Amino acid sequence: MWPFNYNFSVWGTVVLYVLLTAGYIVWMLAMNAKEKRNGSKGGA
Amino acid sequence: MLVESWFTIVLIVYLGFTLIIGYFARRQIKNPGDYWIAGGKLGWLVGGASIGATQMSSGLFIGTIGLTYNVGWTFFWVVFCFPLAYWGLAWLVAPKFKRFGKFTLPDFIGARYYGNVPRTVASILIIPCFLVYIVAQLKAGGMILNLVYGIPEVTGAVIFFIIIIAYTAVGGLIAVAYTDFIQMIIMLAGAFVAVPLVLRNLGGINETFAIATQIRPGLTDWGGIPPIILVGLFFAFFIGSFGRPEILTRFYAMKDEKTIRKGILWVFVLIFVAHFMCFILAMSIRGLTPNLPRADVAMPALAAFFLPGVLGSLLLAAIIAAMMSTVDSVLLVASSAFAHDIYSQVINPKATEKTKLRIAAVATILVGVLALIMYMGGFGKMTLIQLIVALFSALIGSTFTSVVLLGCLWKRATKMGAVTGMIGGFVLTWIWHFANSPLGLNPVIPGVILSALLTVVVSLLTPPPPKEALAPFFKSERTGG
Repeated sequence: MWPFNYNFSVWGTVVLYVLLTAGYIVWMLAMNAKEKRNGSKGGA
Repeated sequence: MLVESWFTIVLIVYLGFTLIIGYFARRQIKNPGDYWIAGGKLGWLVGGASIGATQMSSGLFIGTIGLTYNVGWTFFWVVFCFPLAYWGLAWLVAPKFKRFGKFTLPDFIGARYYGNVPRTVASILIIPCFLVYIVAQLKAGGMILNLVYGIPEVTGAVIFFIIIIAYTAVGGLIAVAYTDFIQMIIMLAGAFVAVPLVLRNLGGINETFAIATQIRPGLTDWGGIPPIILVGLFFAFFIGSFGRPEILTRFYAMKDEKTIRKGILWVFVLIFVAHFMCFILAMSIRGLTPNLPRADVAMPALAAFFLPGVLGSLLLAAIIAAMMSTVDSVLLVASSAFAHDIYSQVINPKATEKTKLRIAAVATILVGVLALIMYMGGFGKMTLIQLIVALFSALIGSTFTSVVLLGCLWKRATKMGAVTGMIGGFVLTWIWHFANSPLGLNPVIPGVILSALLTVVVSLLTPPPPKEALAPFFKSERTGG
């Protein structure tokens, strides 16, 4: 199945991008939860 | 109906629409805050799409597709620099910018580095960086009109220049953000329609890749592009993304930090979808027309000659939209460097709101004319569009990234450190570029290293910043911790 019938230079791009996005979502939810706990819009 | 006729209809409807948005945006503008940052009220959907549309210039639809047509799928690894950089921005930079709550990058530099000297230096250096970028976009616009109507590329570029200037000078960021949103929809719609059609023509995605690699082996492995060039381009775009004033301005323009984070997630999705489709298109074009004389014409040629009239026109409109959404944002930032950062802050701080808005419109036109002169003078004539965009990114990255990041993260960074860092990075990048990139290194690498070194060393040799200058950016300085 495409992209897995090609080498890592092709399938790696798709798989890693999905993982990167998932990582960002986890971070975003964690930051939102932290702000909610602190009752502010974040601490610069 | 011929593609020229369809394209004319699509183009007139689309351009008319952007001018109408410009007119209605003008009616909403009450002060410079509305003009420069849309009143700081953009939500995640429009704000994120505006970042995405600004990011995805004609560099994507023409440059990236052209380069991928030449070197293959491996170029996708460079795309990772964008989500990584945006994550870094959302984490480290956006909260400081949003809390500070001004209009431009020089506003940040002027406040964090306590003075008009760093602000003015930043404002002056922004303009030549952006002229390079605008030239790449005008070149793309001219090329499309040349391909479709046979008119000279320069005439095509002038036509687009006039239209973009008209709605940007009139409507400011409100017009730009909403036209960006529409342009993003057109870009995605164009690509969504084209991808299945060309894949069906070639028998599916696996067949497309097989045909492309038969024609040119190496398009699906690491052999398509030398690693040093790939890594150099990655760093040029990655480092450049941290210092791009037209993107940083969007953080001021969005509602709050939560909205920015959500907007960046939207940018992640948009970047993947748009790039993925463009890479598929590039591989398909290699299968359909194996021997194009110039890689940059790959996408316009597909739209004009291989797709049915209306679909081809939609795709051409998508490229035009990509080009326009970038030029308008960039024009706005470059003109703000003059009108807001130099005129309103340094030359005439007591100027009335009306005068500031008038100067902003004049500055937009002036910067546009300068870019047009540079383009007509032959700058970047023999270079691929993607490489002109990479030069712009290298210039921005070398000039501003270390100053922005150190300003946000290191309290000891001083005014003179920032000034020498910006000038050193900017000058070395140009020298490296004109010396044809010695050692095969992308100019961003020596540029950003010198900029960071100068900022750190000169900062350590000069007195530390006053507490008041740090207070807006560091919580510990506000609470005395």
